[in-house]
Amino acid sequence: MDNNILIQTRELSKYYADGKVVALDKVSFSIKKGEFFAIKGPSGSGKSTLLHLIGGLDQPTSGEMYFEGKDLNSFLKQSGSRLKNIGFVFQVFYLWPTLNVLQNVLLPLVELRMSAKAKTQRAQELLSTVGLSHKRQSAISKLSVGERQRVAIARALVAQPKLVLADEPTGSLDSKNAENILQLFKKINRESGATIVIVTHERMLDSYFDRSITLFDGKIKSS
Amino acid sequence: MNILTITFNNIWNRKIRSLLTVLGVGISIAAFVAIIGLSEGLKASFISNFRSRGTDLVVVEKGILDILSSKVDLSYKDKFKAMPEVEAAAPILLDLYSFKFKQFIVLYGWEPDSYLFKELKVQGRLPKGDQEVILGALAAKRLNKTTGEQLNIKGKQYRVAGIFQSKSIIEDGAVIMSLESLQKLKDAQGKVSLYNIKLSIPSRSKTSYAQISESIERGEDEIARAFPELEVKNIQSFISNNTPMYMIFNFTWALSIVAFIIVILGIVNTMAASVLERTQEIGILLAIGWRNLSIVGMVLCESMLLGLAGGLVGLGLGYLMMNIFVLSPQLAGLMAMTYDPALIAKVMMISLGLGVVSGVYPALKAISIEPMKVLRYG
Repeated sequence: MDNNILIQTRELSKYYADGKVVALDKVSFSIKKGEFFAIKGPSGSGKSTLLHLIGGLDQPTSGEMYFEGKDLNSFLKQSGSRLKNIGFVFQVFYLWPTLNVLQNVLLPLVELRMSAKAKTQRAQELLSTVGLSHKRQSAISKLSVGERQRVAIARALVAQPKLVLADEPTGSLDSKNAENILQLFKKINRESGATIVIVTHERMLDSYFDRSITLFDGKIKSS
Repeated sequence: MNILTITFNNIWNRKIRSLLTVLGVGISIAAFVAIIGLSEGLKASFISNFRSRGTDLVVVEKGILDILSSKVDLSYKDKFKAMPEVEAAAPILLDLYSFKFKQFIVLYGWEPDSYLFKELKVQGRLPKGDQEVILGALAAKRLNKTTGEQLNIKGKQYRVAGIFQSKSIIEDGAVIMSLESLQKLKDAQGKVSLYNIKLSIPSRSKTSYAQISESIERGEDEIARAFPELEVKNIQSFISNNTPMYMIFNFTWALSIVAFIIVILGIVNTMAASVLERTQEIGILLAIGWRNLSIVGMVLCESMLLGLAGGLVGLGLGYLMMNIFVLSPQLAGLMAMTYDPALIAKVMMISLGLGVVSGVYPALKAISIEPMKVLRYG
């Protein structure tokens, strides 16, 4: 296998309702290390299902998935492996409302053996990257939707994962905020070298990505 | 930030529920503190009562249910005294009399030349004949009597010859009269309830505790062998094996177990509700890479903190309840208020243990959350 490949899938399928609903049908593709990659397609095409499978949150009905050449599910079962290798950004952010901005970003680091000072420093650096260092003590409820998404991005990056998966990160944002977020992802991809995979149904955003695939009814329509 | 910060955050953000749980745990723990504290306090009072007199052994009728129903012949006194192991033998007749409604006072009948009087500090004088009594300071206060006044016991008038102070709270709350007087009053001529035996242990103050215990054990064996028809016990074993006391201990522990079950159910309910409420948060923690062990740690930490906080509240409430009980007319004069560090440590350990046990089910529920379901259905 090519050493430059981070994620590879072979004939990946996912069925629901005893096979009556086909979410993904024999999807094979690969993502290179450091790529800014998009999974596109209309609603119900299987984009989020594919993202969840790549992130190890769901199991395929059939097919194979590899992370740096290793079987993905076995690899993610190793203690701390998910945290150190995969960061998630969800469409509806899923921030803890009772924790402030800095604490939300620190959440994944609870698992890592680092000094409290080093953890805080890293979280503050990321908040600075996403332009929220001045709001680190703010309550989540006081933030705008765009700001909340930035906190979620900082949280996904704080453990310095090799792969960041973002499920329609601009879906809840207006066009200006959506563009800002995509520019931010691009900047992070360029500066940190992390591979970023974004699920989107917006066609107009093509120019941002190194490469993309388009799904339709669970199959790759174009790549 | 660590798991403890998150735990405090969880508790703080569910203030009312957390407070109610802590109160629920606290009330159950308070019941435990009060009933165990009272029974242990009662036991300590009885032990101190015998020890303050310098008593090594107690002799009672064999197979009796309680000390008040024990009847031993007074004639044993000389037989005990004839034994080389025995330094002194004091016959005691006991009774319990209610001067006012439910205000019980212990009545002691002692021989006028008993060694037991040596340990008392008497203001006034010792009782003479069968018309006089002396009152413990606490009994005098409760009965509102001073030296020279008359006291009516079971329809008979007695003159208060003096007020004494004793190291034992039971004696301090008691009335002492001559053995003969109480025998007449109780219609128990020639009988006593028990004997207090002081053994001949040379240079006792310079002898080690282990050697004294050994001498007491030897004396106990000798007297038991010489009088197999009687029950001979050292103080500790006499109090612990005393049937009513034994029943009280068992009863209090049975009540405590019920209280603990209530505590466990209370914390399980709170924690299970808290986990259910936080399904989304826990699911996301699992999705961002938290290990199951950390989720279990977070839930257990929260239930342990609730248990510990409940334990502290319970200690405060329990000792408050004990104070009220000890000062009540029913118990005043039977025991003193004590703060036993061993009981405090036991309560905190039990509270922590109950917190851990209560957290297991909610913790298992938490790690069974599937992040995919949270992401799919919110």
